Amino acid sequence: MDPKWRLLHVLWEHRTKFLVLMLIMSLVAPPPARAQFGIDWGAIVAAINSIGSAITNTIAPALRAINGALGTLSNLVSSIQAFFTNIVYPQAAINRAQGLVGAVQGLYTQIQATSRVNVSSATLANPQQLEQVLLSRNPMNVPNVTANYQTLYQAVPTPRAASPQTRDLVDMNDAAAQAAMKRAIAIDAIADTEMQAADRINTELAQAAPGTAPMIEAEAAAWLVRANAYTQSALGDVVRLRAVTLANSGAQLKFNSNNAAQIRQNALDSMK
Amino acid sequence: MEFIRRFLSSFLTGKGRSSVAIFLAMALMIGLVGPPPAKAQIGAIAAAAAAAAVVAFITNTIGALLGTSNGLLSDINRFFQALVNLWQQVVYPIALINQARLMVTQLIAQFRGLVTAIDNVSVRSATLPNPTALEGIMRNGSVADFGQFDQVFRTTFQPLPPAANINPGDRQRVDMSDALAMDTLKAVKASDHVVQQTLQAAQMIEDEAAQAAPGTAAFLAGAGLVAAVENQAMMQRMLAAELREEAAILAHTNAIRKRQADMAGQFRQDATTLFK
Repeated sequence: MDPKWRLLHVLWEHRTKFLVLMLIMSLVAPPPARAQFGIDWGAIVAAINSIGSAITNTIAPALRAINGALGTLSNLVSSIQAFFTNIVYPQAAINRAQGLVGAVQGLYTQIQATSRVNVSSATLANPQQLEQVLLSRNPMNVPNVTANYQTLYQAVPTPRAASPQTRDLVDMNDAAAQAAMKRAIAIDAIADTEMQAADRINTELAQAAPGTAPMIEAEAAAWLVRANAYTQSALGDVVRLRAVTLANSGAQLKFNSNNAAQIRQNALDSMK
Repeated sequence: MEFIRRFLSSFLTGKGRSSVAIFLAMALMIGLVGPPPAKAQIGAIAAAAAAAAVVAFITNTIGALLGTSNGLLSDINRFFQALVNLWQQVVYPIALINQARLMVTQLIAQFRGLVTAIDNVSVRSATLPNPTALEGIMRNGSVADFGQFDQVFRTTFQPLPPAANINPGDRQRVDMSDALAMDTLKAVKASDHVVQQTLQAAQMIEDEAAQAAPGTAAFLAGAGLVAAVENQAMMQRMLAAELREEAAILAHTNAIRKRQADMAGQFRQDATTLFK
């Protein structure tokens, strides 16, 4: 068969597929673009040049200025960082200071142990009982003072055994002495509490950051003020007791003078 | 002609007609759904106008924004410069930091040795062997020799009288008075020991203060405050000891008065019995 007729024959055999393919291609394929004609290259170059000029004259100087300002800012921030790192908060000094806090705490641990050393010295039973209560540093023992005190120093004389004035004086002196002993127990307990608080503050301080150390310092200052107040209170107790002792000495002189006057009177009466 | 006739007639019959129908339906759908063809290239005049618009945008908008940003950056720079000046010249001037450290060093050199020497001045005054021994132990600041202290104390101030030589109540009260005196002296020995450790703590803090940075001074101040709290506690301990001692003195004096009242009562009783 002539090759031309054979091609036509094949096309005819697959005519449906061929037709569908042709139609799909004609629909899907993009339409032919209209080609540029008469290009004005001069205008386009001028437009691009104007954009370039705008970038060169407007954006570039502004960016250069911003770059310069950022450079200055960077230098400033670097100098601030160096200043704070090297002068205000050097890491080595921070570590040393934290180490010092730990060392001081170690020293005060020894001090606390020393302050709790047993100093009891009484040898007889009743004095030992009272001494034990007085040195106990336990405020729960305060109510036990009175019984132990009266066992050792006796109770107020009965009305038959002493004048009302003497009984008043004896009772007042006993009261002052017992109150002072009770306060001594309480003050020891307060001192223990303060040492515990100081320990806690010191532990926190050893772990503090330079920025939080002043907060711990403020807490320590508050405790110092409180401790000063308790010391003042204890001093007040001492002064109060000494005042009672002084008054007691004065009262003794008064008793003596009254007794002397009474003896003189009795002597005069006996001569009558 | 025959071929063309047969070709055309195949679209109207059998499978060909169905295929054509399906194809036309699909073509119609694609034509409706598909995007319209884009318009091709613009002209040179339009390009120039667009370029002018871009230039105007760069000049009027971007340029203005960059100018504003630049102004803001200058403000930030001035602020940081002022901050740097404040910190370096007002808050933490290097010269004053060094001056503070120098002050600590000078104080150490000037006063530490002096105050230590004053504190170490001997005040011992006893002349006889037993008081000299007691005075030595009382002032040695040791908490490890309390047994020896008890012995020397009783040698100097006499031991407790035997029960046969003294009223039982008086014997107990004497024992109590001795005990509280000894307690207090031992507490003072412990206190002297603590004073030395406290001075050591103060020295450590001061030594560190000579090298401290402004940012670490708070640690040292905090350590000092905590130490001061502990010192107050120790002072309270001493005041408590003094209170016990003073109370015992008063109680003892009072007990003597009670004994006198007892003895007076007994005397009256004896006198009454005598004259019966």
